[in-house]
Amino acid sequence: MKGLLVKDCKLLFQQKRMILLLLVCVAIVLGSVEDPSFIIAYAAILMLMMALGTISYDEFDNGYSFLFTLPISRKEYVAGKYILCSVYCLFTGVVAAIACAVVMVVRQKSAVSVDMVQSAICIIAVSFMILALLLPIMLKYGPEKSRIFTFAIVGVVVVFGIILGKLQEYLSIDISKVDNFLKKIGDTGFTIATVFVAVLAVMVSFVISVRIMEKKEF
Amino acid sequence: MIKIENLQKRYDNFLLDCSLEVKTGSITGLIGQNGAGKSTTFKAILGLVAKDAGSIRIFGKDIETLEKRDKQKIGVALSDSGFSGWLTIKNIIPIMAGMYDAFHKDAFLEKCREFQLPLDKKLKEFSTGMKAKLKVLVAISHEASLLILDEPTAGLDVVAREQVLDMLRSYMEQDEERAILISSHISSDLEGLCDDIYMIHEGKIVLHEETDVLLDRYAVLKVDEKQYEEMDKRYVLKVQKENFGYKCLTNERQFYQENYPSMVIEKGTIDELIMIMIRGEKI
Repeated sequence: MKGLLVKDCKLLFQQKRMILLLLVCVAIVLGSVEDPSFIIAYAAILMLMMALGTISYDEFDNGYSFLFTLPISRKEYVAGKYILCSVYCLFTGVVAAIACAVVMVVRQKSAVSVDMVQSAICIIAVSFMILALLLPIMLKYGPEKSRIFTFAIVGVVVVFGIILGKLQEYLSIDISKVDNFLKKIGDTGFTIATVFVAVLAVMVSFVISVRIMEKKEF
Repeated sequence: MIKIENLQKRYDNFLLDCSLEVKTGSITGLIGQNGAGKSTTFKAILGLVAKDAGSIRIFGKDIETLEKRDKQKIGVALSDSGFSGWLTIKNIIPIMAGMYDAFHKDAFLEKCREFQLPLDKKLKEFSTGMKAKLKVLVAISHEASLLILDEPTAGLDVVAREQVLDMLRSYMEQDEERAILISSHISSDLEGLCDDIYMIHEGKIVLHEETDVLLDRYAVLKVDEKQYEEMDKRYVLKVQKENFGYKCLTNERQFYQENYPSMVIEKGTIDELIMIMIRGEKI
């Protein structure tokens, strides 16, 4: 596992220019925008994408064949990817959230509110849900095909949302129940639920990814 | 070290069906044309493809039960795969140190310098020769007791090829408990290196013999129609029709030398033996 993580860090370092660009963007946004909180999602997801990009480096030039002759199991390889992506996503999200909080406290002279912390946690949790969705797709279809697949999934979700909205209008379904439920569990409850769903999604995603890799032939 | 029994792997138009054994202290060669099944055999041994039937044992264990410390004892070089081309040798060193308990960093670096491999250059920018040398260096850098090398000399010039083969010879000289399974489609590489040779054709092992026996006792008999009719064919393995008559492959050269002094008998190289073995017909 140690060797795998070292390899991924070395590969991620190949994208140092992108990371530098990310930092510049973050700095510009932090210095100029009134509410820079969206930078948390931006930084976490971009960093997640970069960590996922190490799969492309592994696949490059039929690299998987040699990789799996090393003393690592396929499960370990998958675990390594989840650890790498989670650590990068979490670290970047937390650092971006702290930077946002510092900027807002300094600029607006206001204390860090519970709302801010909760929304930051939710944003990071959503980033983990994206990780849970993308990693198995990347492993199954490879970096090229998975891009198309991801677009297709996003398209399906959007179309499904639109259809659901229209259906709700057409059938006059009362959505106040959902609204009431959200009010009932409150912001804290919602945050906990989001984190719970994210953790569950990552766990299910991990099991699927291990199966995908164990079935693969190189 | 390795024991394969009735390994089967089926693809659309290809069936691999082979058995072979690599003994401790020996270098075993697997020889065959492109597409004969060498790489599939290697991939099955390494667990990169799932076998359809048969058993593969390494160090006496089924490959599916190999533990991490067993895999640490295996050094691998594949012709069409290696470390990611985006890495440098300097990047590889901590990765190898993290993977193998017995990785010898200093010895590895010394060898890299000896072979003039640049430490800071990305592997994708390496020449074919550099890549091949690095792959073998990586395989022998962690005190492996078994090397599995698929076409380690492919695409190399004569000098580079000899360098790689020398590396393997000295690897074997260091410890009697080591073994190598090596494949090549260049038989001359294996002639001077291997203790025994398996010949694979269309997914099947068509010949297995010790190299010394192959070079000493096997021969090509060139006979005309009359000689062919009259000769004792007990020791003729394969026969091939030619303009002058027949070419016969035998594994009893001395028998024909003693009994048919007028017969044209050529010792033949492994390449020639392979050609008749593949193209010739059984009597």
